[in-house]
Amino acid sequence: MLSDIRNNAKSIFSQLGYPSTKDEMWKYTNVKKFNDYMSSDSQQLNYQPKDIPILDKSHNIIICNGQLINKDIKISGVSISNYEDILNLSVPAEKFLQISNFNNNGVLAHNTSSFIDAVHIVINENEIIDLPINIINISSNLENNIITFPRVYIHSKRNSKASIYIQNISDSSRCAINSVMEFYCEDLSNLNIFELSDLKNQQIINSISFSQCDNSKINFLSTVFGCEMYRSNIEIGIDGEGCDNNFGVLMLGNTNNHIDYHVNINHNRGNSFNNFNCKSLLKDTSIGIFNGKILVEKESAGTDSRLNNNNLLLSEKAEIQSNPQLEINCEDVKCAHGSTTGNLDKEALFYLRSRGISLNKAKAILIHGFISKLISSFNSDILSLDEKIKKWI
Amino acid sequence: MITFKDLVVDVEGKRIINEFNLKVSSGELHVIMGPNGSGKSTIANTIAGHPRYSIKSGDIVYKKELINELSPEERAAMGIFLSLQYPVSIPGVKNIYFLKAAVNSIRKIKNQDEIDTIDFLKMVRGILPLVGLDESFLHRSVNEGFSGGEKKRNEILQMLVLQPDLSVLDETDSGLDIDALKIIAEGIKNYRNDSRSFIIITHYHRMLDFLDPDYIHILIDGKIKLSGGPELAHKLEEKGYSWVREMQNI
Ligand SMILES: Nc1ncnc2c1ncn2[C@@H]1O[C@H](COP(=O)(O)OP(=O)(O)O)[C@@H](O)[C@H]1O
Ligand SMILES: [Mg+2]
Repeated sequence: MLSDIRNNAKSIFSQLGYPSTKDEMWKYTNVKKFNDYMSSDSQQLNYQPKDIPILDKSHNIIICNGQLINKDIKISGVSISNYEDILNLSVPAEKFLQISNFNNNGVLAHNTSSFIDAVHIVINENEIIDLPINIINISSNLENNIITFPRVYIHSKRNSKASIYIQNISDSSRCAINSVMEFYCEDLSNLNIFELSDLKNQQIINSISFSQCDNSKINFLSTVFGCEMYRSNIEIGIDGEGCDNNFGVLMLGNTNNHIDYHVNINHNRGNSFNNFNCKSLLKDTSIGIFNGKILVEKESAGTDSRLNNNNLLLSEKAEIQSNPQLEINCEDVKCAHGSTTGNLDKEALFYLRSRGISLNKAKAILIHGFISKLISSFNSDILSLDEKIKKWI
Repeated sequence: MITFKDLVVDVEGKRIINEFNLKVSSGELHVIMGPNGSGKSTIANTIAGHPRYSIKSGDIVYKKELINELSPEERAAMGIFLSLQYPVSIPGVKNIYFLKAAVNSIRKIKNQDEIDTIDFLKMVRGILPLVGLDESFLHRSVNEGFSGGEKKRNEILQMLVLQPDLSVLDETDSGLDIDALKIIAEGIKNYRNDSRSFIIITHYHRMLDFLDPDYIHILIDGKIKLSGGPELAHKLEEKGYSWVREMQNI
């Protein structure tokens, strides 16, 4: 069964390959070179233990170059397996490989056919997991022409609740990463997800797909401190009624970072609430791209969905492409989208300075004000996001 | 306290202030009145060091120091305060955080330690009733969604917290109802003492009646055309600026 899926993915990838910039969805982000990288099964963790951001009060799961490192981890109420366990049928595969649809997608097809290992997490029915699950996704010690395929499946069963941190970190390897995460959220499940990417010289395509059943709830924040090329594809499939979502994205670009978020919010059923808010801070010659679309299907009355993108350009040469869209095929829905782009408000800067606050501090205060609402709706202090942002500013 | 000598100021290449001369001594309260567009706010912003206003010639001497080239934050640390005609909203920044950052920044420039948080809160809570604001305003974003009057009260709150020596109040009385006006005027009056000076920009004598000003100056076309005592404010409201123009043959 799994092998059938993977063989199918292989043939689809061999037909499609990676998209070109002629593809409207990939207009600003060139990933053609991903075709030329080679796969590796290295799991050399070239990290000092102190540099691995494990958290004290959490369950730490360490993935190196796509492979689960600490296999012995036990969490009450959660089952954690690697790919071998699933192949051995010691745990049911559930919807593993079925949430991310690779039929028309070379990127997903390549990961699906090529991953070496996978992390499979199931949060059991009615379980409330007190401590967060902290997934540390490390790229380490790789040659320039190598590509890795991290693959994570997270399944929250009926009426369960958990917090998940995902930290993508790297050494200075100039590798490529094609990462796929699948989330399957059953009825009444509640997930709090905080992804933080702090990468360097890598080219990464990070695909995250959600499939939601009735009354599931997701609170999600993705923060990226830019790297050479970061592309995130977020697919949200609202397949049940009564879902309640709050999604946030924060892009922080400097030097010549390239950060591209591509988001599809698909309301396949009605009566759900969704809020998606992307903010970017761009310095130097960095480039940000935000392309988002709310799609409300025919039978989705009662949908309330919002999509907003606000950008703050902190240098003359920084650039943003912003394109939020709506496609509504149903009556009786509430949808809104918007986009703003600007510089730091000169009058506000003067106001702060006239009260004795230095120019740099005044800038930091305004920048923080710009994003404070976005990050305050998430419990982000555990990964000391505030501190990281202060440093970045 | 502050002396302006033949001050000439351009805004975006346009001459707004032309040979402005004024001397304000410690403890004095000076009022600047003048028609719209005569340059009152330009003077106010120039005193505070707004980067858009460029001094072409002349001097501003404050506490015996030439401050033409000083940054706004340096001037604030020296005790200059400007209550803006149109206070800016700062989304996402709490009023109390803004106040504390201001107090600590000024303390830092003066090589003083940061203020104790509890002492600070106590001080601010003590000042709130003086400007007629309740505590909820401390936890809202700076000026965001404030009414016109609330913004002006918030400016005076900042003045009372920062304790400046020279306060420049740019139309702080505009948009206030009579009760709010009394509260604000009372706050200013109580704050006034022999070592603190004020430059108050206004169109009305309403607030001045509470404040007992020392001098009234009429600014027209970027220049003081007439100076006098408090009675001048009443005369102006009666007769309008055309009266000054006629008198001065301009
Ligand atoms: N940013 C600006 N750019 C160009 N002209 C300005 C600017 N700000 C003010 N001015 C001009 O300067 C003159 C004086 O303005 P201002 O000092 O605000 O007058 P007042 O406060 O006395 O009403 C006006 O003619 C106004 O149009
Ligand atoms: Mg004015």
